[in-house]
Amino acid sequence: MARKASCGKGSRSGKAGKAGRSTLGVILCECGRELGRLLDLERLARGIKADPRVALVVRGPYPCSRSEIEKLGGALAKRKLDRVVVAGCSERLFGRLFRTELAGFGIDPSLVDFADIKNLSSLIHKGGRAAVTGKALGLVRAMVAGLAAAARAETVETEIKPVCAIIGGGITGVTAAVALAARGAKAILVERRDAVGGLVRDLNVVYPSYLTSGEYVEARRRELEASGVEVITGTYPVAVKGHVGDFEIELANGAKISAGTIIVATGASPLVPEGLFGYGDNSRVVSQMDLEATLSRGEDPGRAIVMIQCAGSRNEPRPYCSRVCCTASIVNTIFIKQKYPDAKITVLSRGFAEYAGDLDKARQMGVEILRYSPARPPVVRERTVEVYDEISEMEARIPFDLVVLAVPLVPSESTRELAQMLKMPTDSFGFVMEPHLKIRPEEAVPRGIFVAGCAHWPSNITESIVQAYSAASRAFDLLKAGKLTRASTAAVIDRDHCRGCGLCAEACRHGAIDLAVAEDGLKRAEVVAIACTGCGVCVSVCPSGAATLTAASSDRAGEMIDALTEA
Amino acid sequence: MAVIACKWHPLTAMENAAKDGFSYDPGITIVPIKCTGAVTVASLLKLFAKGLDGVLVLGCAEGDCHYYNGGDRCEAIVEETREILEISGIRGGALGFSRIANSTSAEFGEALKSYLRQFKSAGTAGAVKAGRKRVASGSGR
Repeated sequence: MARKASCGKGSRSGKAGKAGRSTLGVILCECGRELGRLLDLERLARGIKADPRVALVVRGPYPCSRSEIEKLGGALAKRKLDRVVVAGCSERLFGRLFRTELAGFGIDPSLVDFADIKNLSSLIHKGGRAAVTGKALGLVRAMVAGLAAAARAETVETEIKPVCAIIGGGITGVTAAVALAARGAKAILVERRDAVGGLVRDLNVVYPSYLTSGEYVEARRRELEASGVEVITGTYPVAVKGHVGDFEIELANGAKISAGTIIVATGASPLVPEGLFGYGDNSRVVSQMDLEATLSRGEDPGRAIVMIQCAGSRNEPRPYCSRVCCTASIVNTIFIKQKYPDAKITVLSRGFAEYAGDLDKARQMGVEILRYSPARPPVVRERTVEVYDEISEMEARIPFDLVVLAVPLVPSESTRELAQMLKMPTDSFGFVMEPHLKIRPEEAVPRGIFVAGCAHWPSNITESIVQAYSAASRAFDLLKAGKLTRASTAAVIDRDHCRGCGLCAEACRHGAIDLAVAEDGLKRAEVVAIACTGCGVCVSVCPSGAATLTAASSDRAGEMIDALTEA
Repeated sequence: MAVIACKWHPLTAMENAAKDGFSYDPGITIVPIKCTGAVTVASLLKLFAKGLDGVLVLGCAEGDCHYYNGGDRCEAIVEETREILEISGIRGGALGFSRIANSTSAEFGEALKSYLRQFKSAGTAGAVKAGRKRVASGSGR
C-alpha cells in the first residue's frame, strides 16, 4: 500500500511537480448553498491552495452541471493541468460525469480523483464549522497527495481470438452454440459423452412440452447440425492455459483448441442416494433417474408407487433446493397415470416449490399428495412406507411396489474439474459462482469465461436455455469487438525478487498470473495485464515483496496517510 | 485515527451514514482504497509508525468482494499484523477490522462502534514516537 513500484515499460506521465511546476487542479464544489452552510469555504479554498502540489483551485456552486463544468474545465485546460481532484460529492454519483466531461479538456480519466467532503465530512460531523472544515481539508489534501503521485494508467489491449469454446454439450451448451452460430460467430462444442443432449438424454419426457427426451434432443441436435458448429464428442478438457482472448484448451484426446472466450456448460449430475431410505438395500427403492430410465424403456414401473421428494436435499449436507425434482416427479406421475390409469401414486413432499408445473393436473388425475416434515421423515419398510402426514395430522402406512427418491442435482464431475482448471470459485457444494449475481450474471470470475445452466445452480430446461442465450450474448460481445482495451491497473511482479513459489498464482482468482519457467530454468510469476483487476491480493500474499501495485493502480494510500499525518 | 475503507461496500456505507444522520468524531479520517486485498502487514505497520493511534480497516464481506477474495486476504493480514503489534508493544486492539456486506449505514455504525469499544479496552496504542518521521515511500519491504 505504502509502496510505489516502477511501472514497468511503456509511456506514462511523470509525477506532478516533477518538472518544478504543478499540474494538479482542484475543483471545489459548493453544492449550491449546502456546503457553505456547513463549512467555511473560504478557509478551505485557502488551505487547499496553500499546498504546493496544487496549481489552481476553481470553485462553483454546481460544477456537476454541464455549463459550469465546461467553464471550469476550460480554466483548467488553459493552465495545461493534467490531473484534477474534485472536492465535493461522492465518486459513485459523479465519477463518470466528471471523468467523461474532463476528458474533453485533455484530462485523462485515470487522473481524476474525488474527495467526498460532503458525505464524509460536512454531513456526518456535528463538531461545528471549524472541525468540519479541518476534516474536509484533510480529505482533500490526502487526495491531492495521492493524485500527485499517481501515474497515468497505461492502456492495455489484447486480441480476442474469434472462437468461443463451449464445454459441455447439454441443452445449455447446444443452445449457446446455436445462438453464437446464428450471430455468425465461430463456436466449438466439446462434449464428454458420445452424443450431445446431456442430462436430458437420461430423462423420459421433458417439461413443459411432454415430448419424449429422444424427440426433444433429436430436434435440438438437428438444429445444432444445421448451425454448422464444430462438435467434438467423446472427450473433455484436461488443461487450460492463457487468458481472455487467448485460451488454449488441451483435450483428453490430445487435440488442442485455441479460443478467445469459453462458455462453461458442464452441468450437474443427479445424486446417487446411497444409504437414503433403503436405497441400495431394497431393490424396490430407486432414484428418480432410475424411474426415468424404466419409463423411457417402456417398462412397467408397478401399480403402487410412492415418491419421496427432497431425498438428499433441503437438509444437511445439501440444504439447497434442487429446483427441478418437483416438476420431474409431477411430470412422471402424469405420464404414469396416462399410461396406467389404475396406478396408485402417492407423493410425499415437504411442500411443492412454486415452480412445480402441472401440480393441479396431477391432483385431478388422482395423484395423492401428503406432506412430511423433515423432523419426522418417512420410514421405508420391506413393502410399506410409514409416514406422518402433516396436513391430515395422521400416520399413514402405504404399501408399495416401487419407492422413487427425488434426488437433487449435484455438480457434475466435469464441473468440478473445470472449476479447478479455470480457477473459478465455487460455492460450498461445488457449483460455480458468479462474481456478482445481479451485476455480472453468467460470468465467471476470470475474464472471458462465462457459465450457464446447471454448472452454477440446478436449473430446469427453460432456465438453462435463457442462461445459455445470456452467456452466448456476453461471449459474443467480446468476439465481435475482436479486441479488449482497458486502462490497466495491473500489478507488477519484480522478476529479480520473485522466487516462483506460486502463492500469488494460487490466490489470484482472475487467472492474471502466469507461472512460467524462464530462460534460466527458474519459475517466475508474471502478471497478465489484461486479466488483472489490480485488487492487490498478490501483493499481500507475496512473501518476497516482489508483487506490487503501481502508482497507476491507485496504490496511493501511503502518500495519502503522509499528507494526513503532516496536516 | 484513520479508517482504511474499500471503495465498494464500506465507503458506500460511510456515505450512506451521512445521509442517515450518523455522526462521529471528525478526528477520524478516511482513506479510500480500491480493495483491501492489497493491504499488507508492512503497510499497516507503517501507519502506526507514522503516529496514528488507531486504524480501522473496512473490507467487504465474504461473497461481496468486488474482486472475489480481497476481504479474505485482508482478514488474514490483519490477524498477522495484530500479532506483530503485540510483540512491538502496541495493543493489537488498536487495529480493527470489519467486513461490510450491504453498504448500509447501520452496518458501518456497528463496525465503528465495536471498533471504538475494542480500541478503548485496548488502551492507547502507544504510537511509536520515534517512527513519526516520514517513512520513505518507494523503498521495498
